[in-house]
Amino acid sequence: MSKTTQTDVFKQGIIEKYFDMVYRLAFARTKNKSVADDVCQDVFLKYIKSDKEFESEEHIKAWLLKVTVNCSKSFFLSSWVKKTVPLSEDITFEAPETSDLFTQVQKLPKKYATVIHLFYYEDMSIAQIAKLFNMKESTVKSHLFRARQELKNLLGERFDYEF
Amino acid sequence: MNFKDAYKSMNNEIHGDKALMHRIINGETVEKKNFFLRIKPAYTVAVAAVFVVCSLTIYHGIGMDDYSVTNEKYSHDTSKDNTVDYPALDEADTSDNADLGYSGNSYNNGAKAEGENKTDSHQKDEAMPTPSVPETPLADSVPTEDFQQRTLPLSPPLSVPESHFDESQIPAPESSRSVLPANMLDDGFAVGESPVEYPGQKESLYPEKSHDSASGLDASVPRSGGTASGGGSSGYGGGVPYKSTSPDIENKNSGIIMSLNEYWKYLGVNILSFILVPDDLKISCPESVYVDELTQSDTATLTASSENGRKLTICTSKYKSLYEKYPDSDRTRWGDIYIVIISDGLTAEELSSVVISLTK
Repeated sequence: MSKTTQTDVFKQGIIEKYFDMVYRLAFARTKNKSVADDVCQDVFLKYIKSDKEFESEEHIKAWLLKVTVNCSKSFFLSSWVKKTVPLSEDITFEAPETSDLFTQVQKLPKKYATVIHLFYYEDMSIAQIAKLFNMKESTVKSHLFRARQELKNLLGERFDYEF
Repeated sequence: MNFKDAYKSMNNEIHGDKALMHRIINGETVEKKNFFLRIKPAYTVAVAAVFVVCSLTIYHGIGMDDYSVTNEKYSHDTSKDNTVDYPALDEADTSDNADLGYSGNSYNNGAKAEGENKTDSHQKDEAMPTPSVPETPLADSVPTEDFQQRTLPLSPPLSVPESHFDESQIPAPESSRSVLPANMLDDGFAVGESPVEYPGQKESLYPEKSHDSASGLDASVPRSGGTASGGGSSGYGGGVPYKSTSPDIENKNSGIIMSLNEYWKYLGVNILSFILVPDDLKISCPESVYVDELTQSDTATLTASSENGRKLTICTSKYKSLYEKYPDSDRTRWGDIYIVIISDGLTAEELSSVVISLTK
């Protein structure tokens, strides 16, 4: 049980460094702060318990992203979630434009929100995203294309989505 | 405006719960488990035992139907040949006595031939001066004819259908009844289940188990907690001080021992005030319950048993997860009360009435 064991220094550093990354991805997928906390906790407890030997820090990052996606998936599969309605939780932003963007992005379907997050925030390439999800690159491209179309519908033409 | 920059600035304002992060680092949280894994293995075993009992009940229920058919055939066959098969009776009695290693049983001597009886008494007279326990005289005190009259009903009255035959009408010799309980003849498991008394002596052979009968509990369910005492409990309570019952408990220093009244307050409900058991069952409760919130050990085991071997075991526990509940999340079922009921010999109607009384 992890109750009495103290996390070693290296793992502690990894948790501190990637905690927000995991939380943001979990939040992008679940759209709920409490659930994102749950997922976050599960991911890092799995990391602490894991005996997996990582080749590099990039390897750890990719592993954490993958586990976050899987934990979010298992959360949506649980019967508890199917029978309950989550409380609406809003995050307040300083700028009203950011708040509006957040509201519109929240309306994106889960699979599109994930791709958008990984592509635009984590700066992952389409190939990396495809590898992470075990999908074809063409599938990721189509997801990204449809996500942009949705965003254009929601936000209008005020943003430039290519870079 | 570039969407990427706007999206990044938006996400940079989203931060995870730092307090949660520190709790994870310090090992103060535990991984959630799904519903089935959250239940303790002991409860899983108990529930499995309930299923086994139910399966056996169903199995025996089917077997009873087959047996009734056999009875009809048997009565039909024997009505043609109205003879009594005494050798079969002798063999059965001899084998019983051989298993028990009990030579003083009057069934044995009475059923044997007269010559064997003489041989037995002759050997005993020579080899043993005067036995302190009056085995042979007690056995010989029942005349052979008298015994045969008594034991004749052991062989079914063949002219009468067997369904009229009542084994409870067989008179057992007083000597054997007083020394050896009747249920001990059936199996060895009866030892310790009911207090055994010598004639004219109220002291039990099993003092640590005798609280049920000695405490004078009536057949009804005690309505106030703490009045009942006695053993039979498989939990951390029971009539015996907990340190002497289980060495494992000595290693647990994070819990406390509660009296039964305190335990009901801890549980939030007094089970004894709700439960209704059949009249022939006597409920025995542990005097104290070991509660350890750290290891979630807070099981109290109430047992109810009757003289004819029917048993009912009720385990109560309260689920307290170490997983900290978030302020605005209802996912953790903190404080749920688990009740596991194990029955042995109760009918489905009796069991359902127990369950209904608990759920009211």
